[in-house]
Amino acid sequence: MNEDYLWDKTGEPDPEIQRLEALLDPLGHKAGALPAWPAPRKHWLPVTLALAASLLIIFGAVWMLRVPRGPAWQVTTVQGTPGISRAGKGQSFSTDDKSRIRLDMDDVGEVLVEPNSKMSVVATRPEEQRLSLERGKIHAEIWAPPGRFYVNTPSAQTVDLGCQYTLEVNAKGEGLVRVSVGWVAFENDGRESFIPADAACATRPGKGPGIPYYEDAPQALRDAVNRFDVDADESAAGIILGQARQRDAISLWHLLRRVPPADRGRVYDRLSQFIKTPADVTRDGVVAANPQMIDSLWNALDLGTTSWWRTWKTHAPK
Amino acid sequence: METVISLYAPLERLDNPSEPSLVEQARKGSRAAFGQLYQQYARMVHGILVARIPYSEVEDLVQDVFLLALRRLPGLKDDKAFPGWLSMIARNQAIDYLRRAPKTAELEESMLRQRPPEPEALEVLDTIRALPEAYRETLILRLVEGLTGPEIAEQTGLTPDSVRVNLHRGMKLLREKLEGRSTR
Repeated sequence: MNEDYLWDKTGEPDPEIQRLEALLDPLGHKAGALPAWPAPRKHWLPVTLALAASLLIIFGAVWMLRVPRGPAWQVTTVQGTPGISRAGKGQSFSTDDKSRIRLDMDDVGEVLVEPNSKMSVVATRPEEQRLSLERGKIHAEIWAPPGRFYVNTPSAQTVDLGCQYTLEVNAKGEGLVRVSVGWVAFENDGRESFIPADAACATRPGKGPGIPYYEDAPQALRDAVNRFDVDADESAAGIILGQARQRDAISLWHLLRRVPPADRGRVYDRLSQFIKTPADVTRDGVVAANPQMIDSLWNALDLGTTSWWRTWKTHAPK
Repeated sequence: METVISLYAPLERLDNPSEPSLVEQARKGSRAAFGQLYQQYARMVHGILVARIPYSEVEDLVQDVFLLALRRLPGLKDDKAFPGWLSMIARNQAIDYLRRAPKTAELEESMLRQRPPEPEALEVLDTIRALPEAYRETLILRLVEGLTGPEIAEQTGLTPDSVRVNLHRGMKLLREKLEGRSTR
């Protein structure tokens, strides 16, 4: 495959890609008429305007008196009985077994709250939008810049890095995030997991974020990740190493940071079979948990450099 | 010195002063600015919809997406977020369409007026749409809408690194699927 041609149409054209381009081009967008501009309202009479303005002032005054000030999530009832119309800082709310609501904030994104969920709004500052999910399930579609939208759970916080994801928390406070677009970071007390699209990651009270895994990974690997996360089971680490595919290198990278020093060497050996080991990385250095070398191994995963994470942290609210 | 690359990097568009200006002008009612935004992002919106809903419905929904964006524009306070915000509106419109759409599509007048697409093109499109979500949207923007990788990154808010990975892996998967189809 000609990577340059696929990327930016430079270099020697790839015949198969050219054939697909020619075949699919007729299905692409063709320049056409602009959407019709919304027609201005011409028939408002001055009296109507005055009446509307008066009503607006009255309703506005009443609204200001009863609703908390400051930015807030607009709440739409998707299903069930409407309870609230907006959710500002400090407000808690829940859905019953028949209700679903949508939270919307133009500069941030949308959050669909599933039935039997309990949530609260922790912060609504421009640089930090933070919700808390005590139990239940949400689907988040976020377009705010990375590192501005957080969801607290009983055992970790999710940090949106520009994405769509589903987060659920059960009655025990155990969480599971499943990412469909972009990236999510799970973090608790310095323990971090980075979860890409098509992957999932669990988090547990007292243990924090686990090892992320692609959802198409072998079942044996996923079971072993679960056992390792819960019990730090050494035999589970062996199964993860044995079952890992090329794509699962991201799980191995996280495993490398979780296993005791005595096991780091064998995790590194297996990881090295899937990636081109950077020149500045040595086995001894990795076993000694040299942070620069661990970062270099991440960069070799071909998923973007570690510096984006540090960039986010630099600007993150304290 | 290490190069700073963000997975989603809307802030990089600070370098392009014309874009905030266009959004601001459109917010103030400039049809010309809105038209330029339409020209600039229509292929991206079209591609996002092609990845999700029946092809015959896409053109109408493109118009709906831009009209909805126009109505909501006063609420968008960060102009730099416009591309990501618009792409999310497109994805949500597609989801809403699928929720309310009848299970069986009827032939509409607009479909009868159009030149029908090549059957093979629709088959390949279906194959792409069956790929994991991360790949199908990027591949459609590249192969159907004709955007380059850098353009996809700029318009969707994904970083160039992510787009490059999605294109590479998506294309590899697509080749495997198409080869499997031809050998059946």
